[in-house]
Amino acid sequence: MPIQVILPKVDMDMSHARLVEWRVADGQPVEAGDVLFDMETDKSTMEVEADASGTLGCITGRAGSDIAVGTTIAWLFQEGEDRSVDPGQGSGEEAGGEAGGEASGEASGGPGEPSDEGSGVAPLETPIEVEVRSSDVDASPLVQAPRPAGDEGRQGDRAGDRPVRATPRARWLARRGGIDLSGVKGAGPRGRIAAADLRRFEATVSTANDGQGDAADPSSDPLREHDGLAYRVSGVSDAQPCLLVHGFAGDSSVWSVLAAQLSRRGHRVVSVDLPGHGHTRHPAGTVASLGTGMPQLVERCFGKRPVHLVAHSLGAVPALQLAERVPVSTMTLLAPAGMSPTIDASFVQAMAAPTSIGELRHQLRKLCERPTPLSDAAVQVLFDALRQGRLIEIAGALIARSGASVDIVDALDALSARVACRVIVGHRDRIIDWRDACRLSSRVAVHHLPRAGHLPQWDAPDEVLDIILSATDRAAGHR
Amino acid sequence: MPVTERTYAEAIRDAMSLALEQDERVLLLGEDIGVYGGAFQVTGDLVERFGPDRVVDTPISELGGAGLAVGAALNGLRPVLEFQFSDFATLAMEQIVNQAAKMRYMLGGAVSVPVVMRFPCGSGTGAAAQHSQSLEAWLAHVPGLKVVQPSTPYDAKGMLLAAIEDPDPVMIFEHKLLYKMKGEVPDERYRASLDKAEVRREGDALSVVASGIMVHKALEAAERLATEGHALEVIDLRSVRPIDRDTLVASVCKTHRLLCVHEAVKTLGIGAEISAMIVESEAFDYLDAPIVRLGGAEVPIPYNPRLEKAAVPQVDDIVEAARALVTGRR
Amino acid sequence: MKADSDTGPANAPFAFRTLTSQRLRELLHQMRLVRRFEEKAEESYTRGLIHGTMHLSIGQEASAVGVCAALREDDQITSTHRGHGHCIAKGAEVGRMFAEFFGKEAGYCRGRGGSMHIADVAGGNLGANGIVGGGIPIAVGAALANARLKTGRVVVSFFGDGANNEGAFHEALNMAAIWSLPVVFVCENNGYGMSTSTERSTAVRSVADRAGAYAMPGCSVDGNAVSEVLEATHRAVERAREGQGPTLIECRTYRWRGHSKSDRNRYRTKQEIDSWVERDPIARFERELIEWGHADPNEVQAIAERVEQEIEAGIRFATEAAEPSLDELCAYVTTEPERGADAGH
Repeated sequence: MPIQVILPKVDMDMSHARLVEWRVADGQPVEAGDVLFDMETDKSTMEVEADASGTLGCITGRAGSDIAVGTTIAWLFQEGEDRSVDPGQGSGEEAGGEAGGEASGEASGGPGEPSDEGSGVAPLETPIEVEVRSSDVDASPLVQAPRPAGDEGRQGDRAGDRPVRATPRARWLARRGGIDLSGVKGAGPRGRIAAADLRRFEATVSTANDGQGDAADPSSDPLREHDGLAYRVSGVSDAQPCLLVHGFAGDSSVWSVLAAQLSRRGHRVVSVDLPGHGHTRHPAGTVASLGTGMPQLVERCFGKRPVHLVAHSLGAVPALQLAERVPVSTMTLLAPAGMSPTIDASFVQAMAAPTSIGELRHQLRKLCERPTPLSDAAVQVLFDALRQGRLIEIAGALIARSGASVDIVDALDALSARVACRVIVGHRDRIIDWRDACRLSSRVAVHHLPRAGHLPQWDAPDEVLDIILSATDRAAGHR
Repeated sequence: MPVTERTYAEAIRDAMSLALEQDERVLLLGEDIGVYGGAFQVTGDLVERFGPDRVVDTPISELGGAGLAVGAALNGLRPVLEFQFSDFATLAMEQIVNQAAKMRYMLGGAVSVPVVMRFPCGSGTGAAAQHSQSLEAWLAHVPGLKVVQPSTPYDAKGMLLAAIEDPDPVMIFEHKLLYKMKGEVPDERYRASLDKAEVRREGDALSVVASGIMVHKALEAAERLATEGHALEVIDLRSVRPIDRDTLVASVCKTHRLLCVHEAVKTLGIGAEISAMIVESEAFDYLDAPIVRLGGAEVPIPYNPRLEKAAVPQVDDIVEAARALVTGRR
Repeated sequence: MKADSDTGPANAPFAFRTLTSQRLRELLHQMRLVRRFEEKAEESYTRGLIHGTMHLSIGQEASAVGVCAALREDDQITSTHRGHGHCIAKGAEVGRMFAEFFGKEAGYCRGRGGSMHIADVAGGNLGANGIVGGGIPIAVGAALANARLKTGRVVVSFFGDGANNEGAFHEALNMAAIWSLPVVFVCENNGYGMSTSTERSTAVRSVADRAGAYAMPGCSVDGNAVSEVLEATHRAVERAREGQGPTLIECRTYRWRGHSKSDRNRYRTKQEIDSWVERDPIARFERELIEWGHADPNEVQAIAERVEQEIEAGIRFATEAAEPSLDELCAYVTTEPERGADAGH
């Protein structure tokens, strides 16, 4: 029986070695103990001896090549055995003895054929699927949302361009209480916020500060009222005017982070509680009457200066109405209702008249991609407020099947002729269909946030801020 | 249950005496532990009561002695090997780390190695660099060893008795300055746990995790902070391998702040392990201040007494660090 | 031809005079088993089937088998990193040894120790050791326990010429001597501590010369002559069992292979290796068996064949055995209460 000659393992971590050169030629007789070949490992070059006697043949190990440990590289044939037949091949290939002949032809270590048959051409990359919209769609310009800078930042953690210093416990408490850390003053080293600082902050916020001048303090945010409309103000008094309008069943607190960030960046920010919402005592009547009192509020806060309008969801309606009555710099709509008749009826009904806290929580979960920031206490408060039923009438109007209840497309189109308008939609919005943004006119810039839901200002606060700032900065530049 | 006031050294002797009496497999080994009574007078007169065959003076052969203990344990004895100074563990590291710690594992569970090794350690006696070290972290880094630091006479006796009964190698580090410390010790044979920390003083302002002699310094510091209106929680770590994670985590969740104190060199020490353990645990969300460690300075223990004291944490250091943490200044 | 139960003529060397033919043939079987085991393990290793490295004792079979032949089944040994031969000579099964080298759960150490830590505690082998000199103080401790517990057992501490310069050797011999412990120190001097010869590393001419420094008898024997090894060990074991203390035996032998598989053998010549290979202890023992009438060539051949079968069966067993479970990565480090049963006491 022919005896295998293998490439031996000699070192602990060895997987391959280089066969440097054969010291015996094909066809030569060999005695056990004779040096057969030289082998080079990571550590050194060594001679490998034959374990047995025989005639060397069927040399498949090429001089100069790297070979895996344990590989058969040649055979030692005994007297009378046929060296032209490679004992290692399967029976099918033995016919004709070609394998043996070719193998021995390579034994001298001449340049061999490359062993892998590559085509030399890189494989085609898998084409990326692009979702195609319906054919009657206008080719609205797509403006890609700016990429997030690293992690998206959690609500309350980012303030402008430097992260807030806060202890893990303070962060956890802030998240649970829905507190924006950027508004909290830290007494620790380097301004670090600890739990005690949060307690102090909560104590000051709970006392209402009506009538206090706050022109010099950009971080304060007390609740005020004008003609029955409740609102909050922050920012330096002569900074760029900015009005934030919330949506259905929300209130001005939905803007707390954005308001703080904008007020730090040169804006005077007013966020209003719409009729029937928040602290505004006026009832909400029809959808059309949601904007009642707003022009007066704007004049009170900003005089005649043009205002940046930012509205969310149903707030787009009163915002667009307002734009007819006051000077407007820019209009930014977040997940606006009214791009089509489509709206999540169950959401509207549940928010107007929730039957249980569980149902309310369920609907709140639909609003955002990221977990809801509301604490148990806050949800209870919201439930109690909604149970007053102030929104039932509007809810009915929103989901009426007869006629178009809400439609902003034309109004927005008209506005965009004289004012820079942009719409931000989240592709994970479960309340409105973001694709309805395609119905908007080509003058309206549409920003797409693939991972945001119906509350882009919560799900992607950094991106929303960047978009708004790009609008307001540009407007400022034009003056 | 009758209880007697004993010194830490007497408590250990008491444990040995009970073990020698009640278990003929127990054997004491060490240098000068016979008629000399032991370098710190721990074994005292045990040789008179039990004879030189049970209380065996070895030559000055730490490596050989450690191997001897391992071999004896393999064959059914329960040896208790005394090192004269913990610094001399360095001479025996081969047998402790490569043999005692690993034999059970390497042999797939076919044997166990029930040795106990005792190490007088720590500074404050002017013995200087080669006779004053705290090397428990070295051994605690080795899977297969159990490492403990009793800080009271009660624990000194109870942990030694538990260690003798333990089927695996137990390394006991005894701070030399504790040998004369007095405490109440039950007369009977009892076991103290080898893997649990203990809250020595309850509080809610700061968790101070200390080991060995630092437990007592921490308690003193807690007294002072109490007069300033801050209630420190002092935890005696007791076991270094394994560390009682649950007790430490629960405490930090309650107090929101952590200060680790040990005499061993601070860098790469047990305080570092505890800090990381806490940060990796659910206690992270409850931290309201950075974790601070106090430990030995980056210097061999000096001979000069003032320098010797300055090289390791003192009560004032603990007070200062604790105060900064509880007042939010750190 | 002698009957199996016959011992040899009065002028025969010790082994052939005092052991029965059957027992002597068992010793040949063991030597062959060690040789074939080593060769087979080597082959598996070069094929990449065995992890790590190994230290082969080919050429040293007479020393391992001769020493263990003088021991009772309950006597104990500690061994070295070159311990496969000791393990087999003390009665281990080759299947479970192969299984250990293949890392299998059925191995003597559940696949967790490997070649350097191979052990057979139930058979009296307290383990090979990866630390040179590591087992010597442990053997002394084991002997201390035997003396204390009056088990009557003797411990043999195997070590190489390299170990005789380790501190542990000196401390252990000293302690064994002062307490007259029942331990026999066997130095298998194969001339090299890894690559450094004894001439270059050891201050004394013969390792046995060190016995005097520790007030114990010492002797140097031809480690390739089974009878000489057996006779010296027998005397030492009797001495120990009678409570007269330790002995140091030096077995002069030679390893055919390098220190480990990575050894390039640059520190010795081929002639030197060949000169020892010519004096193969197994061939010598076979000749002697025939010469003193304890076996004929057919029986010798039959032994060789039985050994082949035993080896094949062992490899099969090991190949088919299961791997340890990853779930048990950290098992067997400490003694869990449920596992108290295999604590070995």
